[in-house]
Amino acid sequence: MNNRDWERSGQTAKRQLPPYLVELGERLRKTKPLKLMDGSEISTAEIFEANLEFPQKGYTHLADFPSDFTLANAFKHRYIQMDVVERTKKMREKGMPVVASFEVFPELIIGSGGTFISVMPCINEIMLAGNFAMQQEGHRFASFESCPGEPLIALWVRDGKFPVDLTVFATSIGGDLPCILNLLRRYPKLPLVYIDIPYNGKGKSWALEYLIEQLRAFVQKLGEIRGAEVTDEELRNGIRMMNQMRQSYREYVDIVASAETPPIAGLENMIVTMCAWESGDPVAIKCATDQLNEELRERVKKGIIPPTLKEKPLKIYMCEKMPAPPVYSFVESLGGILLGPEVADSLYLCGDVDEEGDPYEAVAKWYLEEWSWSPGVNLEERTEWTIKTAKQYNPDGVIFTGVWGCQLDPQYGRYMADKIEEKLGIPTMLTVLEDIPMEVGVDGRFKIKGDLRTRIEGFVEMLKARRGE
Amino acid sequence: MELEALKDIDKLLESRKDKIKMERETGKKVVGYLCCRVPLELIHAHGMIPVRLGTAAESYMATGKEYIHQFTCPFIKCVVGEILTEGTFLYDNVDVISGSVICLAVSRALEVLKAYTKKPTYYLTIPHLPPGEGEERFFVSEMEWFSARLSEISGKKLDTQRLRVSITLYNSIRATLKELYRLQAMDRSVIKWIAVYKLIQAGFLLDSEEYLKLLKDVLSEVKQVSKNEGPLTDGKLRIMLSGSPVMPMDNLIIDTIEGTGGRIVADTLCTGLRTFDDLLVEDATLKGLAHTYLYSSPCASCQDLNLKRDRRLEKMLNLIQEIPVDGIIYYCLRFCDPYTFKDDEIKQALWEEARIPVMPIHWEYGGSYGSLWTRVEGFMESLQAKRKGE
Repeated sequence: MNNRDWERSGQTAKRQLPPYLVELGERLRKTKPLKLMDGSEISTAEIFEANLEFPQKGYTHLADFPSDFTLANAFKHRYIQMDVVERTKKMREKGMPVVASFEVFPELIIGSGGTFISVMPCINEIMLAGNFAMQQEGHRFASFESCPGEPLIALWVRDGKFPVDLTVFATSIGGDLPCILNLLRRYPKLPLVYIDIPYNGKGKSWALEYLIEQLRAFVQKLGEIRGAEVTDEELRNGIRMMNQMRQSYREYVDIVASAETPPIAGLENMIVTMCAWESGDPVAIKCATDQLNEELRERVKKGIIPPTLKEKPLKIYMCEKMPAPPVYSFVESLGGILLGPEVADSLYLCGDVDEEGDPYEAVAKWYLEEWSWSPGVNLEERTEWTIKTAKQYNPDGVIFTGVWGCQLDPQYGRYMADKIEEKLGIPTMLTVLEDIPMEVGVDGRFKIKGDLRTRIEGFVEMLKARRGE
Repeated sequence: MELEALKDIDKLLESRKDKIKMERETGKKVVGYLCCRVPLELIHAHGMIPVRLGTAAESYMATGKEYIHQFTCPFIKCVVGEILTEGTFLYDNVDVISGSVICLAVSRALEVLKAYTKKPTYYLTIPHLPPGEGEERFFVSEMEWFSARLSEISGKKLDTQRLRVSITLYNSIRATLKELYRLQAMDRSVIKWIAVYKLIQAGFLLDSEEYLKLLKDVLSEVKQVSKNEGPLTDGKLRIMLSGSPVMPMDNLIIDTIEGTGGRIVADTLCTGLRTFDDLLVEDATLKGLAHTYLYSSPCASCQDLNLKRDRRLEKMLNLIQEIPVDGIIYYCLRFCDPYTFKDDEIKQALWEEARIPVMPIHWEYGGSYGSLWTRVEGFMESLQAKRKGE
């Protein structure tokens, strides 16, 4: 679908919207407003306008996404994701502590009355605004061998593009981030926190105690920033908010995974899943996801298929991370769909954090012992969890995406692929996501890179043959 | 000149492999260990044989890549490749795998090795944060846990007297190495750093009593030769080698430095100085062991968010005071993030604090040797010019 008229649509006062955008506006207006964590609401009209304006705000490549304009509530997730920096700035002006982080104990940040900001705005800046120089700057700041995304958080913190009060990273959360945090120590005015989650710490009481002690110090620091001590009840509230968001996400996965033809296309699925772990506002995410779930259930009931999907597509589960945007539509053009990814599923499908007991212990236990990606959990257990999760999607195949330079999960790819093939009896393929300009093309037209194109074509043909197509 | 005591070192290493095979037949277990913070005295006290993992070879790296991703440093790829290559000494003889874990790549390697070798594999997790009360409490428990696992495998409970004996033995080894290291760095020395480096790495395999005897023989000969023949002098540029591990058979960077007019006199490598420096255990108990290892010079994976207090940097600056150098080669293996990400910071800090030039070298096994030579040669020329005051 050519969306270029979307790019031009917000430019004039008396604009002439193309029919698909008019229809989107009408659909959105029939939905409920978006509730935010600070108690405010964003009307559906505002969400619609903001979505129209993103291309004019510099995100010109957004129009290159082959979006499903008939799925109204997914535009709320897109709004949450694209607006995160502006929203965070406003929250900070209201006195809310803002933390630069990467999935590091959001329960405690939210419970302390704060919010967090992560790597997604930086990725959007490169991928959707075409600021490819920033990618190079990230590599220059850390190393050419670093992940294409992670150094950018540090870069934005260093340059003040993220208005943050604290930067916190933790062991083995993000492959390069522990090293990247060290790069910021050259700027002594930036407050930094490192939380050490012990490797292989599951089942070790001393590992749990060590982590709890650090979490207490972290929350104390958050309390100092906001100027008031953080109570246990506030932290339990943070846990509840995150759990509620997890619950909505689980319902979302149930709907998507159980349908023979998923009611959402790959790119929208990516926006929803990425948004869930990057937005810093669990209330907004829950609100948007609950509404989206209703819309998706309706679609399943009525047999509505996303425009880019074929009926009963080949389902490919994304292990580790997710490939670049051009891959989703390419897979769909071949009759498949990419589902997952494991990285997002791991944060929301590993069960809830205990809401009743000591909040520090509950959070520490979850991140040390229950989260499948935890450094405390061993490869065997992680693989078992991944197999169980992948199975839920009833996939025809699994694609592993190891992000360039990542030390975190690509190292496990071979073993996990071996086990998936053994236990689920389906083919797997290991791929690499390189730097973003390489993946989306420097003209930003979202054409899949040649080598991956051939491999995916071959993989999908193999899956089709196995299905007897 | 070659020292008499060093002549048979290769034969000694080869015969050690046969002895290990025989000892295994008597029920002794071999612990293949990774990284320099596995307490060898604890393995020894359990009546087990510690053997360090890792030999540089492109064939091992190729095998390693089958099991662990290409975004892993060549050191880890070789470790994984060697132990998973049928017919290697490690493949046939390692009973248990253990690792002191601080770097992400080591943790990944241990998990992959556990999965594919099916051998018992145990971590000794080292806190990433600078040592303090909480870190020490954690590490003492971790050391006790690790010891309990060794007891399970060896079938022997840890005997405190036996531990004391082992600690004394390893203290003697480290003290002797320290003395040899001091001697090699002297401006006029009969033993070179490369010989001491080879000796350090011989300790990765040799029986500890046999190893101590070898070290003492070498030390005694060095002292004797220095007395009889008088000191030698070469006037070469004095270089410190720092950065990622330089494991056995990874001689290229060493040969290049020596071949372009440099003389290595110091290092901060986890395959060199860090295997014995700061590791003299005063309190011969498990707690004492944990304390010594925790407070020893850290790996670049450690987090110290205050640059002014960074123990690794402090260690380098102290070492330069003790062993003056003209320049530092900072060797970064590809995808060794902890060292690679800090190359610029180290370069800047050492220049600001000590006016010592640092040259980062980023290297992958099998890289372009010509470019390596040219870069090191250029660095040597600039150091020569600095020496002459140009």
